[in-house]
Amino acid sequence: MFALSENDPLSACARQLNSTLETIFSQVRQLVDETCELWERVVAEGRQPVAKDLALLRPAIDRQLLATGAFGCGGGVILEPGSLADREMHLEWWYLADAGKTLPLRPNFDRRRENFYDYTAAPWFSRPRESGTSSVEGPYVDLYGTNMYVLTFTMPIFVQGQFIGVAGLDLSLHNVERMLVRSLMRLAHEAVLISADGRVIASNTANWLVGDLAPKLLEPDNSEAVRLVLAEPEAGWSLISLPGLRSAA
Amino acid sequence: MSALNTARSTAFIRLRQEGRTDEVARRLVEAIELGLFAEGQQLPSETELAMQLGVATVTLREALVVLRQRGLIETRRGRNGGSFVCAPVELPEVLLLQRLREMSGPDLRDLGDEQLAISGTAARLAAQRGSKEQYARIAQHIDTLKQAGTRLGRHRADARFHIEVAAAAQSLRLTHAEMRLQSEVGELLWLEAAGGGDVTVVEQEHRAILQALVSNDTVLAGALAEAHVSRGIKRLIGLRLELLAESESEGEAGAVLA
Repeated sequence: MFALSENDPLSACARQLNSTLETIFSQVRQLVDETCELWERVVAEGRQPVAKDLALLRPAIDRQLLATGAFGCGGGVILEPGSLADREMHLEWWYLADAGKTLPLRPNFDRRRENFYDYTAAPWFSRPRESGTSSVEGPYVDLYGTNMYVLTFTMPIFVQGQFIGVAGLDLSLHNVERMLVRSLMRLAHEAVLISADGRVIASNTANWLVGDLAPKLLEPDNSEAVRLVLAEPEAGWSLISLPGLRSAA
Repeated sequence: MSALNTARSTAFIRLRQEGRTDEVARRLVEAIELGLFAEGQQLPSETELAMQLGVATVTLREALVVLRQRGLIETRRGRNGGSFVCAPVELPEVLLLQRLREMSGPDLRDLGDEQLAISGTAARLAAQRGSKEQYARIAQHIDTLKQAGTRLGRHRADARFHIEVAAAAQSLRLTHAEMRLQSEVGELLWLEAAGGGDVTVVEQEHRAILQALVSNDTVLAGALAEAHVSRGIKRLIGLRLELLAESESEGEAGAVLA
């Protein structure tokens, strides 16, 4: 990794990407805060929250999905099993349909059925639960939820030190790639944005395709490329600048 | 008639005779057949479902009529009313055999060609792009297949294996294509008469494909997936010919008797 000056185009690009990430995480954080407030209010009434209480989060979720300039195509909270008084597993998750409306995701939590939706096994749930920090999953084809190609941003929710679930946003790669590429196009060199597991999220060159695995680019001894780890450390994203010029591609 | 006219009339492949309603019905049937909606589960309201699918409520209603007629859903009236997914009914083997007999040889081969293209490419890309979690899920579907005791159970586990491979390829288009193909041809492969009573061969083929995926061997994964699809289609083509031969000889016997 190289020391770069503040005005270096690569640093400028990284700053822009960072601010995009910050915006997304701050949207998720708002859901975390709303949930904490709600939870504490109910607990203060001397009872354990029930599924119905969480329905009150809908305006907050809608706000994140319907606001102008919002990135999310789905969002909400997913609960740690056993946190609610009346349901073992539960999620309050809404996704964007046509015509600016949101629809609830209602997966099947009946273990005896083969389409049982076990979110506790999903990395976007288990990682924040185990690490206590935010996580970004994907891009991946969401077979079991919304059937889209997405990135999932999640943050753990703790109330008085106890993990009660995660809040999250799904971003359709179709929308978000456009914005990320706009930042990458400011660079003269070929550049790719790569996830922690080495998957290409966006690229300013046809030589690297979205969804491809490029773990070699993350290797520290790769002297050909300049790697910048984005400041939002929990996203685990890296910006890689390659030796080739973009126009020469 | 000039040669030009003849050329013109064959220049286009005829469009699939599928209207909006048929398409919506097909997608719902796929979702139910592949078990994405479980038995007894209530479907979302008509308005909601129409929105999900991006069609007018009228179109959705027409599609639901098709599903009702096929016995896939039932609609209850009243306060707790709505449309519910019926317990899956295994179509009698005779009916499926008839469906196979009605398909033409070239049709079956062409279906195989398409599946070869989709499943082969999906496997190649999945070997390149798949994650450990995805490979683990693919392995689970193989275990489910091994344990499945019914034709429907086998069909679903087999279909899920292929759909999960397409998802691991990171491609929405391949995933949707695989869902359609599995719903179209999957159940036939598990006919008793097509050798569907024995899962071991398919299970071994699935394991070999998974092995290639895990070792990121794109060429091998693609080749194994293609061979797997070819063998399946070959079984169906063989079975269809047998059925034709049977009905021929029955016909002859009939003619002699007459």
